[in-house]
Amino acid sequence: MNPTRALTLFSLLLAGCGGEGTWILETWGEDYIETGIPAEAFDDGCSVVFDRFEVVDSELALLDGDGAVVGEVPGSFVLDMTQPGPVELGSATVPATHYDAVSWRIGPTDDEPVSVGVAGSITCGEQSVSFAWDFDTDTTYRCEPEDLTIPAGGEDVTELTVHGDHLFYDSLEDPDAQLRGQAFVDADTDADGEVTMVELEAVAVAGLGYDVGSRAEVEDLYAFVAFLTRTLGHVDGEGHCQVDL
Amino acid sequence: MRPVLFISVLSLAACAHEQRESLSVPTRAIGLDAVTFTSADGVEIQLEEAWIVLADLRLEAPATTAAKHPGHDFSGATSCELLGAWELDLLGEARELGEASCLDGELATGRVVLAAEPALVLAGTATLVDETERPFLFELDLDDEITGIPMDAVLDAATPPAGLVLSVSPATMLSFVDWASEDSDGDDLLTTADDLLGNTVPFGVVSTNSFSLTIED
Amino acid sequence: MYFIILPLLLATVSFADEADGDEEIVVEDELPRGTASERFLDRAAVQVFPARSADDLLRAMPGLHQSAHGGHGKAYQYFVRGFDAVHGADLAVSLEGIPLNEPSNIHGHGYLDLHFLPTQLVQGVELYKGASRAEVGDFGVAASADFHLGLAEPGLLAQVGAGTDRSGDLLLAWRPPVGESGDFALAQVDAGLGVGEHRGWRQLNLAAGVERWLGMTRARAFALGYHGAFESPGVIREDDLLDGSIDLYGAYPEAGDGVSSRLIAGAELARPGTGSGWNLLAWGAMRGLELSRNFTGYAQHPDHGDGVLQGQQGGAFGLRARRWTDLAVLGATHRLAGGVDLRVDSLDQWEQGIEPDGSAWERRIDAGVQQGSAGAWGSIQLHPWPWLELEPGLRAELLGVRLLRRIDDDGQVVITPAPAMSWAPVLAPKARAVLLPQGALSLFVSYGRGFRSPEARGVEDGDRAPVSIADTEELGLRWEPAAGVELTLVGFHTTVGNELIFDHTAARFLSSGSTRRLGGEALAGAELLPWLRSELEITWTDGRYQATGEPLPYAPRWLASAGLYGQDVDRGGPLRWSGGLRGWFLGPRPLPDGFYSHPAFVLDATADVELRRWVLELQVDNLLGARWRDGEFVYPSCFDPDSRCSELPALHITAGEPFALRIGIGRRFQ
Repeated sequence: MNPTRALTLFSLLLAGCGGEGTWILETWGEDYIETGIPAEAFDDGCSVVFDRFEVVDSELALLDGDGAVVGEVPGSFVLDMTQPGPVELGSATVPATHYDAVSWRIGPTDDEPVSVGVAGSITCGEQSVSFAWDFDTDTTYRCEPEDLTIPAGGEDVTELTVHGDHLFYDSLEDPDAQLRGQAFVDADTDADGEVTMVELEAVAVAGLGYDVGSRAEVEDLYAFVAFLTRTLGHVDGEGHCQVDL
Repeated sequence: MRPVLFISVLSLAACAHEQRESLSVPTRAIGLDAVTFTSADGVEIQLEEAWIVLADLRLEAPATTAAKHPGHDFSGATSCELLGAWELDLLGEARELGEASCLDGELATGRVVLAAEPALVLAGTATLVDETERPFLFELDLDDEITGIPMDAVLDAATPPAGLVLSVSPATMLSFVDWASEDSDGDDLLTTADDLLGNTVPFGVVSTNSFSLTIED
Repeated sequence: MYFIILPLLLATVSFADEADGDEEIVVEDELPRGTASERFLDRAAVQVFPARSADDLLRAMPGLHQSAHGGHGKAYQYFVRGFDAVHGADLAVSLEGIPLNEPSNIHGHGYLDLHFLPTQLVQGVELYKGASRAEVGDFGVAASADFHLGLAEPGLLAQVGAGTDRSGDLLLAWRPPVGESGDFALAQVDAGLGVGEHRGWRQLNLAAGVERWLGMTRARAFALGYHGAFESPGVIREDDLLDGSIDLYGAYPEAGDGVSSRLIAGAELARPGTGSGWNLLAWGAMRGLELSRNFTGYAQHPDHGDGVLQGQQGGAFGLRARRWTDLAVLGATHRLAGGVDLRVDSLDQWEQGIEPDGSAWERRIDAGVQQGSAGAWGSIQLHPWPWLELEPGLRAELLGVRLLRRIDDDGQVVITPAPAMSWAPVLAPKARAVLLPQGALSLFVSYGRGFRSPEARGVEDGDRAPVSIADTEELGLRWEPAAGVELTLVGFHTTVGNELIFDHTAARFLSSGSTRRLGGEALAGAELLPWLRSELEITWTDGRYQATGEPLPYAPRWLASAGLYGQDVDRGGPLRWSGGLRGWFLGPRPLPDGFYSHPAFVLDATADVELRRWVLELQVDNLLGARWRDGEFVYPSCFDPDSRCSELPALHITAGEPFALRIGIGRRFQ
């Protein structure tokens, strides 16, 4: 057995006795934010391109089986997810073991009152409108990473994934929600080619055929999209995150 | 014989464990609003017919991060259950639905199924502020479950509650309706085929706010 | 020459220094014993312990509870020291050094199925609690056991039996008149319908062994084959039982069944002896298994039913080498021992959703698994003074796992052309100390780290795979106040920093938090008469999640047993007999959702009489006819497809074995 191999195996063995490793945290908006959401993804044939998709990340922590924080990436990050990713946020030294819980906040900070700021354009058939919306929703996600086992002396990565298409769901709680864009194009009541937040607030959700589930407090389209900004967070691609709503 | 003594002692230890208790709770449903009521926009609505088909009422304990355990178990959070289907006249007296089978403990939410064709009929006349009368007949086929109806109660088998009441509010169900909607099919009757009523009526019907659950001590 | 070498610190159940007839037990592993909670059953003790199969013999481990919910042929569910070991995940069992737990078995990681081992071939069983033995590797988290193989009596035994549980069996066992216990051939057919519905079984056991001495070296080879088909009565709802719509021994139409085949073969070279010795073993195994079940009726899939069919096929092989030697240092003799274990498994496994007629409607698992382990261990037993024995030890193991094939979220089979291996290294320190090992009163202290490999399907390609680790400390006292009387008190404490659970449906590991298990055992054994021995054991365990204080569900808290065992001492006479009467009590266990299981008390008996080469064997299961509940589970289910399905968590029961009397009549031919 060559020396390198022997050394690797030996260090693997030493690793077996516990110790610490490195937890690396990345974030990514995937193709839907970087390139756009194509018409095939929409139920009504609309499509979306993002020029900007800014998210304020903070309170990034790794939790052990008892729910205690064992590692943190400190500080807050303002990232434009339209830039190519994944982007590394930081790392932390944590005990070497298996983890199934990561905690993550998308919310305003003292320096950044807007936690989610998006801009781009929506095209439905011949019509196209631009948008620039700001949200100050505060959401703490508790996510289940895919098979995160930190080896002693080694590292493993968790990716905080942002699903930009969630803003266009037609239901707040239905797992079979579809993407729809027509309501946004129709919201441009002054026909200036831009859908503002004020114009969204003027649209009653009740008339859209959208579904609010048990969120009876959501009455207008702005509040509807604001609620959906609280579902943007995922982990390791399609991994599930829970939110206390 | 020694073993017998030991078994008796240990059996006493066994009796000390409290099994989760079950209890029955008489359940009824009632329509909340009077025959005539006024909407937030000042529209006076008079109901001539209002009934709903409810089914399978369930109450749930608060969601917890449960200790995960192995084995062949699929434990759920449902704490109370009353299975069946009942037609409730929202303008009439309360309807006894039966005895809900419950397990003791905290209750945080409830849900009820609306699945029938039709599941709901609301008919009457709405009088707008300018005295225009708009007769309406809303019939809905539904296949839905109303979830997240808030509750805050604790069931104790030692002191069982007097009853469980499911209240339904037709006024809340109709609160999203624009009574000035266009009569698209020109039949002088507002129905779900007219204007946006096909969206706004069901929106209010399946809104959680249209339902409430209370435990009577 | 044969050597009888009994362990220094024998447990209470073993009888006199010699076994039946001219038989003497060779215990070639001169590995030191050093805890208060171990126990050794020799052949005579095995014979008087009421046991229908080799799995039942594990009940002799104080504090171990077994639950059968699959019928005759499926592995039991094991509970020991606060661990719900599911089907063997925390209990490492071997046969002559061949590890019997099946890693990544589709039904349960560490699946422990001993149906291939007829009780006639069990020469002895060593039972250990805790994890302080360096020679034990994967799955040795809470306890371990080693079975010894051999046929006790020379000659041919032909035996036929029948039972009130509508069963019959035929046994042919042969051992050459001049030869070792490892020289044997055995064939056994066992079939029955059971008491109640849907409990039928049929099984075939074939076994052969050869043992020769080549000078000072012993050479052995053996092979055991098993094929069984069985019906599984499954669970019944407690509310259906209470309202009379089903009997405790009934079964729903949706109950499942299974087919199991196994072939295990080993070849061993050993040099036992005083001063030093070594042992070399090569083994191979093949396994086929198919199990169907439906525990929830139509709750999850109202259209198709919740029937599940699981299957697996595969093989494994391994090598085990160990060596020990005595060293004289500073006027005392110390023992150095060490060994190496290698194992490779290759499996194909599948799981499908099935309709009530058995046809598959959904493919859920279609996996190819390769896994292996390489372990090395060493221990040194020091005797610095006559009143002190110290034994530090260490085990290092490298576990590797990879998936060749799996189903993705869209239900498509994904084949990874060259998947990377996921590694999991473990370092497990061990330590034991005995104060006054030779005295009437001895004190034992031990510590051990036990571990369990990761289940293959939960591991991503090439990542570090998670290993379950548990640390156990044990304190014990053993006192022999008079000849033939022994009292033992043991206290243990096990901590798991990160209790890993495999979510079978999502195929991922869950870190459910840190846990602590605390418990104690009190055992008393006394030779009441030269031919009669009594035993009493009481064990108590409390296992909790440290963050919430919630009890660990399913694990037994109180377990007690009492037994009377008799054996004739006049070996020369024409009449030989032995018998045992054993009762056990299981206290209520915490179940999910605030429920508790019901206590159970069962009495079993066994008796053997041999007169002039005629053999009469009697086995009574559940002598008192107790209608006891073996397994209790809490979850919602819906067995009537035409009614509305309840979502309330309900108690589900698997019935414990009812009363059954089995008689066997045989004849020996020399």
